[in-house]
Amino acid sequence: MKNLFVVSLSLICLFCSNIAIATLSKTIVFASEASYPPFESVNPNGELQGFDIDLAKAICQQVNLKCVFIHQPWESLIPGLKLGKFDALISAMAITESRKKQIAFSDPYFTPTGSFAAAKNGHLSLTPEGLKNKSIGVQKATTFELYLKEKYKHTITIKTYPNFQSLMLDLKANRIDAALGDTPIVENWLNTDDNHINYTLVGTHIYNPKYFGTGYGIAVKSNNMELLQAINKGLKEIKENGTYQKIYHTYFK
Amino acid sequence: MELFNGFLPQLLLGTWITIQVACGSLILGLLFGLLGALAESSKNTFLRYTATSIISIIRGLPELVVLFIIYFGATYLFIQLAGPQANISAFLAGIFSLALIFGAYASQIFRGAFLAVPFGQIEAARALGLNNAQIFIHIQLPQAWRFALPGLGNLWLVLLKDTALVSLIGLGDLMNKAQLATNATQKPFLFYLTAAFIYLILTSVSQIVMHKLNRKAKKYIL
Repeated sequence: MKNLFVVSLSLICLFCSNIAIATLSKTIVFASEASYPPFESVNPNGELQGFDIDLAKAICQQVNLKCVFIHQPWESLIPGLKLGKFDALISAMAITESRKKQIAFSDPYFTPTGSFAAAKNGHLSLTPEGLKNKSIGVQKATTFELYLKEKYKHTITIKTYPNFQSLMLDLKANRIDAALGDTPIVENWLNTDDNHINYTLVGTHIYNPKYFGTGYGIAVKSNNMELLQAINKGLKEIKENGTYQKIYHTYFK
Repeated sequence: MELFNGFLPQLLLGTWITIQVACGSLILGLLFGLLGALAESSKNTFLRYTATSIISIIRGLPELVVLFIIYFGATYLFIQLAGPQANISAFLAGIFSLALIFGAYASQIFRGAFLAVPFGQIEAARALGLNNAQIFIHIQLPQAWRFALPGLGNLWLVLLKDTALVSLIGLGDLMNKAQLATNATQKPFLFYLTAAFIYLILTSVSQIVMHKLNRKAKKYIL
């Protein structure tokens, strides 16, 4: 019984040490869904890396903020931000009207385009007739899902996935005919392993501000104007001094 | 090391979080279960009905719903009550929700176990002048846990596997680390199979421990 007491006490102490980290300090906590290389992914040390992360670090450095980055599932990003579980989001998130009703966005830092990936012998064309009765996969709760729904509503079957990885696994398993995603992400996928041998991009990059918004933005809580102004100032300055371009060319062609 | 692209330490770290969440939920869940069983067999009607309804609600909800209600719902409630500083970490929310679920099922096992202690013994204890607390601690509890053990063992295995749910609120458990490593390296089968293997080790060790405990428990029961 005494042993059990000691064991449970030491376990409780361990938990407390965990909790302390969560409540500590006044650093800015950025949340990101780290399954989206080259925008964001996790390195073997468990740290976040990628274009978004480097960009946010450069902004923080420019305006003298101390920033840390944590991984969060995509669906928890906006609810968690609203509840104050973290201070900002940078997660290849498009600025859209419906999101703006819930959270505040910085100036856009990246202009997104979408691309379809499909098997090379699939004979797809990007018209309602060409996609008729095809099943198209897309990541859940993204602007691409909305785009598919409104543009090809009655002709295709849309399958949604919690993250990009499971979407591409289903493409490889032939459960869907094509996958729609961010151009750099899809290109990155084609360049890993031997995916480019059997799969290819279909048509041209799609750009449609009506659905994809004006670009990707950093999000903060709607009433956190102070942080938003600091981020916008930092973003403007790193675009002017060339840091932005340097980071951009590390990750994109 | 090369095989895992350097992600093995991350997986082990995730395993450690999984073990922490599972053990934390077990300790808290046993407490909830015991309290639930006591309340359900209480003579106080209000207490009994409250406990019964809470237990049947939790048993009727999917685990994921309980987890989301605690993580998002309770945080919202706390912020309304105590201001924006109030926050529940994913770690605490995970442990609390899994403990609630474990407790709801465990209370039924405990109740059955207490009923399995012959009533004659309690009458005998009363005749000897023991009060209710003494009867509970010295007569009922030492026998009931032996009856409860096999059922609790099963619940523990379920709990251990349910910890994978906390990856959905962003806690870095084994499942979460496996997903992140998969996304970074595009090697899903390697990391999911490794995670499966680690879960299997955890459950196998648990089963060996439970077997030993069961043998110890049966020493005095015919």
